Amino acid sequence: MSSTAVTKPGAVPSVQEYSIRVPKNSKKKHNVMRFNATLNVDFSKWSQVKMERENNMKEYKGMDEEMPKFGAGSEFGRDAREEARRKKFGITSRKYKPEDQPWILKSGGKTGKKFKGIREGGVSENAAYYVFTHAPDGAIEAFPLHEWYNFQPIQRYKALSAEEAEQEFSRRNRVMNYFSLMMRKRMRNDDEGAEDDPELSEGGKGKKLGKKEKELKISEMDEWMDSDDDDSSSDEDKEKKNSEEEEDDKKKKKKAKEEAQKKKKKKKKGSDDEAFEESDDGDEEGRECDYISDSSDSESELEQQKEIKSVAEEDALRKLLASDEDSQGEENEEEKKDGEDDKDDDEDNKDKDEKEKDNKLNKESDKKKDKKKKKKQSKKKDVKKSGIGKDSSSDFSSDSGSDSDIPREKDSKKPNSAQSSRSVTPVLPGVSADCFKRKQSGSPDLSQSKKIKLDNFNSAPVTSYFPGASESGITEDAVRRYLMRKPMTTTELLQKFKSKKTGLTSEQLVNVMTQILKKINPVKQTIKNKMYLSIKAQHN
Amino acid sequence: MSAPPPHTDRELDLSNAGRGVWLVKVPKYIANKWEKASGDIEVGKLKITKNPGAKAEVSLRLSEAVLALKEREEEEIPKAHRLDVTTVTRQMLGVFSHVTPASTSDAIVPETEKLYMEGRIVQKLECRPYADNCYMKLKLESIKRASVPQRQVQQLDRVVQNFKPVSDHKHNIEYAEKKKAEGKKMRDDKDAVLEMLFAAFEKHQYYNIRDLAKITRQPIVYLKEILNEVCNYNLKNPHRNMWELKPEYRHYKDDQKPAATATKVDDSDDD
Repeated sequence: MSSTAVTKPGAVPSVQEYSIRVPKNSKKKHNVMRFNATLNVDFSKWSQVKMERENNMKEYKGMDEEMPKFGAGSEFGRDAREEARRKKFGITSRKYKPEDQPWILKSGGKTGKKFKGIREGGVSENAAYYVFTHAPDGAIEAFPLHEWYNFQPIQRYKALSAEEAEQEFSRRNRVMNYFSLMMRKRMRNDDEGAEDDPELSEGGKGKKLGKKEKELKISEMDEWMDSDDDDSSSDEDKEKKNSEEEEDDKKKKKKAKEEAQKKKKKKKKGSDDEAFEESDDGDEEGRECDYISDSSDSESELEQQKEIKSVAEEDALRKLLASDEDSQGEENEEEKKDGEDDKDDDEDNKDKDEKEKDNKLNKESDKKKDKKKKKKQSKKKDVKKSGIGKDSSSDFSSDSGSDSDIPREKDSKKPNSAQSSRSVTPVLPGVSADCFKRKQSGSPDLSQSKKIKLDNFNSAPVTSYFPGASESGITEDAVRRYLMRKPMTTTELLQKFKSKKTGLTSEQLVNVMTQILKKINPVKQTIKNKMYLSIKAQHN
Repeated sequence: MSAPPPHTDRELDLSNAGRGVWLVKVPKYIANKWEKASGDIEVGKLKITKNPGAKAEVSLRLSEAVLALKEREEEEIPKAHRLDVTTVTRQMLGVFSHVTPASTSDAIVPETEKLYMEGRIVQKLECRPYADNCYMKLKLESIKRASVPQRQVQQLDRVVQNFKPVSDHKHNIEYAEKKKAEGKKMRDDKDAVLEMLFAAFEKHQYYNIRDLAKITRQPIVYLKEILNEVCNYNLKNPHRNMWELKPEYRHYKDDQKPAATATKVDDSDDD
């Protein structure tokens, strides 16, 4: 099998033979430098190349070794002590070997590329590598290869730090020019007197210029696209809403039947919507929505959800987990809801005139908004329904109507939903507590109990019907709700309802109120010579 | 170390940069032989056979001189090898050489480190033995060697020597004797002690009391008395538990900032 090449009776086998020598030069060591092909390194095009070992002396020594050995600031026997201390911890310091440090390769003078060559281990573990070169006399010289170094380019520009990146990202659509950004950063650095290599700005310019233009375009395009996106989506939304409204108007009466169908439809639409626009922050900006959040709507929505799901257990469980927080949050929400009122309350009835003005203003504005709102309300209903499927409340609770709508709504043809939206809230904590109890007792008919509860809500205003009460929005539940939230005086309570558009004279109001209060029979306590009424949360 | 500073950059000699070289992977047993061979003899022959229409075949044949270089109990190694040629892809491989000056060079002009670019690797060759008897035997031997466990059981025929416990070790005794010879630390004249202290503080700024006691050979109580007069005791962490001269006594040449680079100085553990 051996030496087949020579004796082979082939056609015209041209045979070349070279003798191999292994020249001995113990001082000269051959190493491999490995570059990635993507770096497009061409050795033959290199002009000025310098190589040096990386200086890691500082890192090796650590930062604390910058102490004078003698004279001021020096300690006697410090080195020995440090050594002993390290030994105690089992650290034996190795000597710093400059020949073990990575190579730094600079090609093309000052402005050229920089590479760092890190030694690779394990290449010649099981085999030896030789490099064969032609000697002048035609023989081959073989040199053993000692080390392999993997050369990687060193970044010559500075990247943004995490915080800076965050900052720039926050105004990503405003920043048109990436280059100016980096420039600014560099300027800042210059001010600080940081070691900013000047070759960076010179050498990198050529490349960066091209890049910059590209970047610029991209960002602009992005912006256009963004804005387009927003516009179109919002337009579409509007259209959708309009169509929905129309639909609504037409179908109001047959609603009950068609509701299910519609829901499906809406859901579909909603899903389409979702697919169309990713929920970015700022997407909602185009839409008109009231920021005075009304928890009641979301609650009613929840209620509806329950009905749809008819799985009260889950809800109850959720409540059970978060009953406390829920009631808390609810309180907060409610407080937010009639923030104006509360504000006034806090002023302790001193500036009644002002308040009334306020109220008037509110009313006026309400009136102005009325038409819009009415429409919107219906819209909202739709939105809600569509929203039921996907996410429960958070999105839509924000665009809910203000309180003054509710009576109106009640007058309109949907007393049921309105009532629920009104009346659910105050009793909810009770419900949650109830649920809690029930859960503990472990009765299985939770859903039933819930239903009973719901019935209660609906029937409550009926049973406690006072002349002029329901139209005016003064219900037992509303009063309860207020009292449950925080103790308040009767005047404050009255103020609450005065601020709403009750359409009653103050005497009538007082009458109604007294009746309701008698019925509720709240806890009375006197603080600072004022009688405060309150109800415990469980009081139901 | 008289060697030139290692962290200066050196020009890479690029005269050979454009040259194409071969990277050859050889088995260790060949490499061992080649290492032993002296530089001027022929260690082998490389044969390139080009058949028209087929790939060129490259083979390596070790010379007799190299094969003869062997110690006892060393196996025969295969003589002929096939070289598989592959091209270098996805990476750029170069070879550079690094000449380090011999540390014992007594040349008048000190040699400096030199770097040469030796060329670009254009082809990779892998040396493969033909699977003949010789190679199989070699492998067999190596496998056998590898399978021998590193630790082996040994039977002892007598009791291993243990050492009796000693009440007082030798170096302890020596130390005690030395101390005795020194005698008790005597209270020296205060001026003399101060002289010694100032001399010591000229060298360093901070001292531990134990070191000072060693230097001045005074009893610690006495030393402390004196130190309280002329020195401050550091309680805080850079140079904690160390004495330094009071400002009015010290006049260091460049008393800029008493090196505030804080390090943990815990001195209660050693000696």
